[in-house]
Amino acid sequence: MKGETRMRGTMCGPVVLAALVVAALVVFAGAATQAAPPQTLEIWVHEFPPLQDALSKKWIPEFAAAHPGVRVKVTAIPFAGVVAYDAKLLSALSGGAGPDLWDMGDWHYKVFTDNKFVAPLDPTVFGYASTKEMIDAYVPGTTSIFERDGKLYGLFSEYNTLALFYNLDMFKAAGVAPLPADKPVSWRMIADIAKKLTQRDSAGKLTQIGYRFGFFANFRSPQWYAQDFYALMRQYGQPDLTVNGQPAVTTKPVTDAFQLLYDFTWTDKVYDPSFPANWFADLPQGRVAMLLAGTWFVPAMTPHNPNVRFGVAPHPVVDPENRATYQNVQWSWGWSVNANKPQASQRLAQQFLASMLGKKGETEQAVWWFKTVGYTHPKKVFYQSAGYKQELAKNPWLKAWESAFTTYKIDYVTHNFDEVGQALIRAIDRVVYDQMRPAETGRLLQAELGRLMGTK
Amino acid sequence: MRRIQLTYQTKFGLLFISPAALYFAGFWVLPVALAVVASATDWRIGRPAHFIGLSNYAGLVSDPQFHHALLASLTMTGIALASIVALALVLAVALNDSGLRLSRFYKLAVFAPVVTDWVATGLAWQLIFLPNQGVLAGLFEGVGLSQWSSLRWTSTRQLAPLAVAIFVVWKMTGLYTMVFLAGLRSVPREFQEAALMDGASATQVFSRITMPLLRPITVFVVVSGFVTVIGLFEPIFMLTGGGPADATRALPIFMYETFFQFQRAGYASAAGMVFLAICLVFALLAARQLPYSFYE
Repeated sequence: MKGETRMRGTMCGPVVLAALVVAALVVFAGAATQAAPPQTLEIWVHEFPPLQDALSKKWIPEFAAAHPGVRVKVTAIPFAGVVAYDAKLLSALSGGAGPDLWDMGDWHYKVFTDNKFVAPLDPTVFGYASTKEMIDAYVPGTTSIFERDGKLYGLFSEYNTLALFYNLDMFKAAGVAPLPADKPVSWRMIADIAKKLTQRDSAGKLTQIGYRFGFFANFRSPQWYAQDFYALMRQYGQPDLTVNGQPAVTTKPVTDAFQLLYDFTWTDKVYDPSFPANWFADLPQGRVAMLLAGTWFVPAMTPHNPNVRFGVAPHPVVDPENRATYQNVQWSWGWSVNANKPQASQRLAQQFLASMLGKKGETEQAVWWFKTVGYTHPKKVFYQSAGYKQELAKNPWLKAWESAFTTYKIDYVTHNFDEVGQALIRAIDRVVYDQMRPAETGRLLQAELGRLMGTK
Repeated sequence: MRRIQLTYQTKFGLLFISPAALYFAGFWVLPVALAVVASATDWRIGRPAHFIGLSNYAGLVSDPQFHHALLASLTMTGIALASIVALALVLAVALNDSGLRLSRFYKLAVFAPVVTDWVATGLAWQLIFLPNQGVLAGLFEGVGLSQWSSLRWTSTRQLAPLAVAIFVVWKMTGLYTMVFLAGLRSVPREFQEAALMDGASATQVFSRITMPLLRPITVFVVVSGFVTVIGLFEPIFMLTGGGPADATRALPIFMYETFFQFQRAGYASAAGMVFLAICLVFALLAARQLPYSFYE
């Protein structure tokens, strides 16, 4: 026994020593790893396949190659629904968390800047001497949505307006001639055409609808409810849901706008909010004949429907002979940097932005975004570039956008992601789901806005 | 002053329950206390809060959106809970039959949905409810009810609450089947056998002997089911997103939107307190239906 004990004693020393050496190596290795941790840039984007592809297949690999040791992580979040992109972004940033960099709609900039969620951009990272010079590089007025106290809090992901897309094969099958590309047609004409394009089977089930608004049962997007309604309301002559700060939704222009939604859904029966299935597939797959969309619609629909034949016409108006009714909406999505992240992370995020959007005088990035994703960056040099002109020559339908900014009075919508926007959604839903008369839904909306604004 | 002497067993007992007690205090009592405080303020995210007393509660009383959300919650919970209790009881009775072959397989099949994920199964249910091309549409076609195959389960305001309830019933019935099954196994057999010997029919034995003895279990199932179902967020989010036309905009969705989308944290907290009160009142009322226990 004694011998055994001694034996164990003699074995113990080397074993303990070896264990200590291994432990020390592990500790040193860990310390070495901690000394140079990989820097992670976290990005959130709204779900839009061409955008995700752009990041994962082009911009991230290129940035990672130029910045070894930097890991870029992208999360795409669905755009519509309850826990939609907007709500998730707001809840994360409210808690001091969230990504380093994200894209978001113009409607968030005021609240997010008020709450100091967004960091000002450093013009030198983008090759400009000052913020003023950076602002001057864009078409006048376009960056105003990102500006606060002389600083820029965002940079364009896209700048867009609406035009009418239609399925040429469905038009041909119904014996309808293509729409003029240089002059808008009336909503009445759209309804009449849509009636020819709405079809049911022998059992009375809808098989295709003539027109689809941007919102429907499976896509409850506040942005699209607001965009569609604001364009109509403005065409009928009222710029906003309020007049002099007071709710004004029992007026004739607002009632007329509701009436148009009512007629399309219930009188002409060319729109059914329960029918559409997929924002980007309905038109190319022959379920929807006409819809309003931005330039990104083509890059989004063609990968899965390469043989689709489509036409583009200017945004319909109430009266093509009355220029006052030439009203359209615009929207912007911007990239922004998290103000609650360390300076190094903020700088890295801006470097990524600069590589993806281009520095002073560079146009190749903007051309790439326009060509591949359909996103417009309203830089002066972009509009002057050969790449932009080549795209216009190759895709004549893009002229609808080029002329839209000069033909129409175009403005942002005022309410969509707030409580007023939600009240508007309810008012529209009462019309398109419950067949409520326009005057009645307007009266209920007036009461709700009165309650929300404290002006009962 | 008299010093309290704790026995060795009591000290050990306290030690063992302390993790659960700490968890309960940290993740339930504290958040509820904070919500109570927040509910008495005008707190908006990113802005300082001011004490406003019961104004938020007064606002809820006159808020039609809150009333609508409450009604939507109670409707969906009512449909789902009644179905769950009835179905779970029927399944438990069937599975309690000692002569049932493959009973293990059936138990597994009934319980399997419980351990699945809401989001993953929500995607599957989206496909099931798909009009014309979905599984349900195929079933209707198969049994000659082709006029029902085009029903838009998740996108019409009449059917959407039903669709959510069906999903919830599928997901949760298994759990309460097992609870009922355990209850049925603990019903003393001699009572049933004595009744049978006295000439009672199987139906009479079930309704007069088994069901009364199952009462505590039934109350547990109803209370636990109510509190769980009324607070569910995921099935609504996955199937309808609160729509169409607010048809499924239940209380959890209302609170989430009010808090995060509209940033009215104080108001959302008040709604949360009302929600908690509804659950507590329901539980208290249900508990009053427990006049006796198994062994009396």
